[in-house]
Amino acid sequence: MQDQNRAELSRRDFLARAAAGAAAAAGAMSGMGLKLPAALAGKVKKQTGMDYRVLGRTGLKVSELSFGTIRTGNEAVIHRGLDLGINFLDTAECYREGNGEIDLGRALKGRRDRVFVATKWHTDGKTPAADLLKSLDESLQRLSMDHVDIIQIHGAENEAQVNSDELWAAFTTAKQAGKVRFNGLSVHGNHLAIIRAAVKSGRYDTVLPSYNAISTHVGPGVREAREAGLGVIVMKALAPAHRLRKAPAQAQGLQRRPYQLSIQWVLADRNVSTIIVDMPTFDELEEDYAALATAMTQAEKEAFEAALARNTASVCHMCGACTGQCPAGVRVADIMRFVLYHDGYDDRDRAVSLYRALSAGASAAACGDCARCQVVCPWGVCVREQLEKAHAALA
Amino acid sequence: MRLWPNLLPTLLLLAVPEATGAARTTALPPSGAVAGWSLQREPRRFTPANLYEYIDGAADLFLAYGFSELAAGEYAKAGGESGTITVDIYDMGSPLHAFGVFVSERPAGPKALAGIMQTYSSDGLSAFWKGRYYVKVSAVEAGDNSAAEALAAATGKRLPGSAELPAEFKRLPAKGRVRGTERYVRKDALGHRLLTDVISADYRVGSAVASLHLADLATPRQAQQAWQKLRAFESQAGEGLAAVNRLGSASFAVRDSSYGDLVASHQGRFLVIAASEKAGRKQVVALAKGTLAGLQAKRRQPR
Repeated sequence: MQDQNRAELSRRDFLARAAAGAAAAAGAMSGMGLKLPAALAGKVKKQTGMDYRVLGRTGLKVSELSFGTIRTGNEAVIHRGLDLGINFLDTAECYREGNGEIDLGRALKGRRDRVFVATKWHTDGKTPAADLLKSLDESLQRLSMDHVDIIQIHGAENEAQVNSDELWAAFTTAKQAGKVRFNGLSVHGNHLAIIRAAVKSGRYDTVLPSYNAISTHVGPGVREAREAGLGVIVMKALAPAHRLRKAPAQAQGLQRRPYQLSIQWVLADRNVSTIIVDMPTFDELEEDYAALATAMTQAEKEAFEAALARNTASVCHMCGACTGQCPAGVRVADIMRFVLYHDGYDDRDRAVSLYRALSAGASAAACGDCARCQVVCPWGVCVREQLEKAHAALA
Repeated sequence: MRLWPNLLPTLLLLAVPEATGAARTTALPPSGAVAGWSLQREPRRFTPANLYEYIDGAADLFLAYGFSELAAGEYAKAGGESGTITVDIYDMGSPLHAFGVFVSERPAGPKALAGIMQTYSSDGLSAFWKGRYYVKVSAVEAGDNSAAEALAAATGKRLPGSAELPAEFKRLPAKGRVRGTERYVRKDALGHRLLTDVISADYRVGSAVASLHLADLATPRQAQQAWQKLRAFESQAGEGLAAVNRLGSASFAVRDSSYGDLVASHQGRFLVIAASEKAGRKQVVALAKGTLAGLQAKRRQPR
């Protein structure tokens, strides 16, 4: 399936050409204050090629860094990624209303046998098998492929979806027809419950959770999935980098840029097989590829997590641990969500309107002195302080 | 896929005052505007900060095109047994942005019909752009396409602006342009971070087709930087890079593995890129030259 030798030769060839041309290019561009992508500037130290990991029970050997395709569709960028050794690409039927699949299919023309492709289908748990099979056929048509390697539930939210017999019937029918090879699901929230349901069902080969240095509560689910033989594909790996974007890396005690550390943090978890990242430009592709070159040290990991903690101490992680815990009846979790609307999303109208819809007994006005909400918060968020601020700002 | 050949002229002719943030929600058709369908609950509003809550990862695309605000209305029939239809009005800030995101999501296949390229309707989803708004009406749950199209038409009537091709496309040559291939990419065009605000179209050159891209880089210096970076990139990734004397010193031609013969030239704040797999370098150079000449002519026109 994967012609790794060819990929390796291409990559070496590319790097050699990059190194040869870098000096001339740097000379031409230095006066302009321009910055070449790291690989083009000959700064990539890694010479051993992309690393590959086994994707659970599928047995597929997938590149550590893979393509997400919400915005990525440029043929030339995808070709460059394949030359660098990327061999896994994830898409979905709804990305750009189907154009994500069309662009991907066009880019992989003549290269399909060198890569693994995953797409998705939607089910509400009751969606008939016939509708799912129709969705898959439409995806294959847009992709110009006779099969995809993995078909995934798009954003599984409840156990009804995970355990849908209609979905299982659709998958087995499609597999017998040679249209899919493996069954998976993507998860945006309620990770532990969904992953455990998937493991328990015994019907899934892969799981695609959002997992990163902020959403560490997903870690146990990742481990359980891997121990049960599921391949773990991770999305949203770069989210911590966005959290740290407001200050320079060095000012935060980091020796590397946050996005590089975000990638390395996830890949340091050996339960993870690959991360999918949207890389619509050559620059992002080269930068993310370069981030693979040097593994994260323990000191780097600690500094990175400390920087994140400093930037997230007052941020609710929406884990729901405080739900129903207040002896006075304050709707703590809801109020923390309203605070997020107000502070995080700049949506004061919505926050005020939702807060004022609470009864007096459910608002922060009823808060006593027990601090139980703060005790039960596994993230150490100063919940009572946040409740006071919420009442002052929203009441 | 079905198009609405009779709908758009109506949308174009109806002039409505410019909408404000509040008007985005008032552009949602009231209950009964389409027989039997009622607006359920208060319309929801989303901003760049929380668009993810509504459309998850698809928000990235809208944010890349300058998304400002979304008003989302949900319609249902009495009894609620027919499912719901959603009407989403995305304020993209400008007609060019609305056009760009519309084209990005427009299904492939035949798109232009008698000059009408601004709408599409397919599998329960109807969409169009008008003024700075991109509107998507989804009847996927209800399965009532005719009701969705009627709600889309009613929404279009209530929105201000025009569905004419954005004025920026007048910078591209009209001769030889393949109708309906116009597109706009706000960021990361052709896979290059420095290529922003790029309008493109396909052209018939001889028996082949060439693509033409015009990047508006805001300042001559930025255009020069983008051209230099592209040249540095192609000097390594492409083959046979050479100057093109016919286009002046700020030009080069190369054989690119993905785009074929590629020519790039910058002039003022603009960067022109023409490429074709099969047309041949001479034809591609001619297309770029014609575009540059058009830009110069427009500069000379009295304002």
